[in-house]
Amino acid sequence: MKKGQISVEILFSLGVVMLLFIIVMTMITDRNEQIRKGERYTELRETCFRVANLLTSIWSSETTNMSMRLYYNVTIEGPERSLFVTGKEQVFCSYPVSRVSNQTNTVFNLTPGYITFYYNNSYVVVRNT
Amino acid sequence: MIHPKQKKAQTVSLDMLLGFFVFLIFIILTFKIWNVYTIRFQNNIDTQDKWNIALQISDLMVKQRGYPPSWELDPINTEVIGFAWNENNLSELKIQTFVGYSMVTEGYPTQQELDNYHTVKKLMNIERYNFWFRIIDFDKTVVDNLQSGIPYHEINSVTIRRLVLVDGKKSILEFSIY
Repeated sequence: MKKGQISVEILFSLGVVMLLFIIVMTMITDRNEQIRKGERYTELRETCFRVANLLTSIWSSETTNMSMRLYYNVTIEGPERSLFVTGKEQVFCSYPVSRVSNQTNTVFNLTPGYITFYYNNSYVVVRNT
Repeated sequence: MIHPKQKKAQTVSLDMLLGFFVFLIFIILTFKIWNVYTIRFQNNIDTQDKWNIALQISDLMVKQRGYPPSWELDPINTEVIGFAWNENNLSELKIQTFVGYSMVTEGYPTQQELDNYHTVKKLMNIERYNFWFRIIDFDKTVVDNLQSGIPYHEINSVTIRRLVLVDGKKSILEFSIY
């Protein structure tokens, strides 16, 4: 009888410890996912800023010819002056120059790989190489 | 009278309760700190966005003529803003036109002033922010009343200063967004 009482106590403690462990593990998993999401977001955002800054600086300097490597899909909406970088999530950023094209369209997509920027006839031209 | 075995059981549950509360406090503290860092992260992202936009716009202002190149003669059809004859050498006429269109009287702005101010914000693609622009000399005095936008009163504002020549006179272009 006495022995039985002790094991109930131990079982109860174990139950509480297990419950706490499960709660903590859930929280840690959730936070881990948030961190990974934050990392992905930061990476996409960096790409977005790099493309936007290059567009603006090519426009400002008029003659520079530059290239960079893309790791994500990018959509440029020239007239809206918006840039979308798509990975697992989508990140948006803006730039102040309205005259951007890929030589034929002002709304276009860029795929992962090398892209080239140059200034042509009052437009910044961006295209995959 | 309390039996010795009962005493032991009480001690164990007291220990456990104490441990549980310490653990709980630790978890709550961890969450609080986590939330503080999440908010800081968000603020940081917002500030970086503003720095980036302010840099891009100030770059356009000091390096480019704008589009069309003589936009100051027909401001309604301006596509891209720019004040420069050549890099860092600015045209006062272009700045005056920009200021004329984006000037907002402090305190009691007219509807026309606010409409123009929003049009200029749209032109620079910064509709979600406010801006404050001025040309100052090295004593921080505004040159020829060349200032426009809404003066900032926020600590979250971002200010870019560029050394420029305005019709040959050394000045500082100051552009803030918030």
